[in-house]
Amino acid sequence: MNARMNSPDSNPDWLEPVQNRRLADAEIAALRARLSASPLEARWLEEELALNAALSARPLPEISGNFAARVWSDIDRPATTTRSEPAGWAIRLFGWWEALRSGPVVALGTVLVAAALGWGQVSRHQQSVLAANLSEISRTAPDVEVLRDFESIRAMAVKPEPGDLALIAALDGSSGVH
Amino acid sequence: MSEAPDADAELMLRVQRGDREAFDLLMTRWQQPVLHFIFRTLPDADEAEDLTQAVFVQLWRTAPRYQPSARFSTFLFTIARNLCLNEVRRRSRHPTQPLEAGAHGTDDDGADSGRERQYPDSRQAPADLGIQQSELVSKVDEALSDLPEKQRTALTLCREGELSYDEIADVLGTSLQATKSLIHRARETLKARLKPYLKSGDWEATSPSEHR
Repeated sequence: MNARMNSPDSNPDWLEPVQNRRLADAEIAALRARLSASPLEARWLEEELALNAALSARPLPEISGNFAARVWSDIDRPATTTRSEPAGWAIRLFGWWEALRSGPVVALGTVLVAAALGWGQVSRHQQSVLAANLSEISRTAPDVEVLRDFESIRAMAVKPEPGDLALIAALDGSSGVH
Repeated sequence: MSEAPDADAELMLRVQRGDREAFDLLMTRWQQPVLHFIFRTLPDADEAEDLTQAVFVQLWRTAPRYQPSARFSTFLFTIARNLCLNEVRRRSRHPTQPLEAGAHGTDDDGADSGRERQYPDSRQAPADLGIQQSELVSKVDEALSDLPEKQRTALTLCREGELSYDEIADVLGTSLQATKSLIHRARETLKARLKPYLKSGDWEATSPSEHR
């Protein structure tokens, strides 16, 4: 019995026809006679035949009498169209309209409009803040005369030069200030 | 069915040219094996027939793609298998939705589903089974459904589709050796699982006419 668990290549030659096709009664009888001398193979044959009988015992439906008519009805059913073919421009316009009517497009449009409105709000706020800042700057900024030497003052060293210190001391001495 | 592949290929070439009579001949020849194959995957007669209908509609529409070098049976059962797999996947995603709302003529809201059966239906109901036989049949169905898909498909194509091992290999996209192995393993699994029934059940091979 172990032979049956091997690959199909090692199976006896009678097995494939038994499994694969409908055998006539005479063929079955001939097989039984042939294998009668080998009890193991004879038992194997009976198990295969019993499985065939079990598989065949399950009822199968019969095709209905109007099957072909239903197939042709399906094949010949016209494609479902609910409107006549419009002109090209109308197709494009209607296409856009149909797209706009679609839920996702409407939602996307709403989001874009909201974003645009929000951006406008932010922009106006920023402009008002900028204006306020400029106003403050103009109020507190020094005169132009003061700013004239701005670059010169910026270029001066952080620490005073010795000559500058001497000049300051001289000036302080003449003014009585230390 | 598979003994006249050249005739079927020739008919299919005529179908490519719009020959409806040729298509009718192919339908008459293959509708039952396709239905039986699908029924083993979707064990509901109405749904199996609806899917069989879809197979032949698809066959007509994809006729331009048929290559004469390929066996017609392979082409046909590849369509059938793919539609079965799609349906199984669809059910796994939407387990409560039926295959076809109009399977019995109308949609759920009563509207014409477009698949209304306008023609007399002469389908025969399956024969009544005894309680014991029904239980045994359910055991076999259960064992089959537990097989891996390729094993089950190979076995079903062999038994219900009546395809040769070569044709089955083409449908599954496997080698001939692999196909034989699939069928062999499937049968060994079924025999092991159904052993008590095979020994003592109603299927004991006492009548030669039951063998296949």
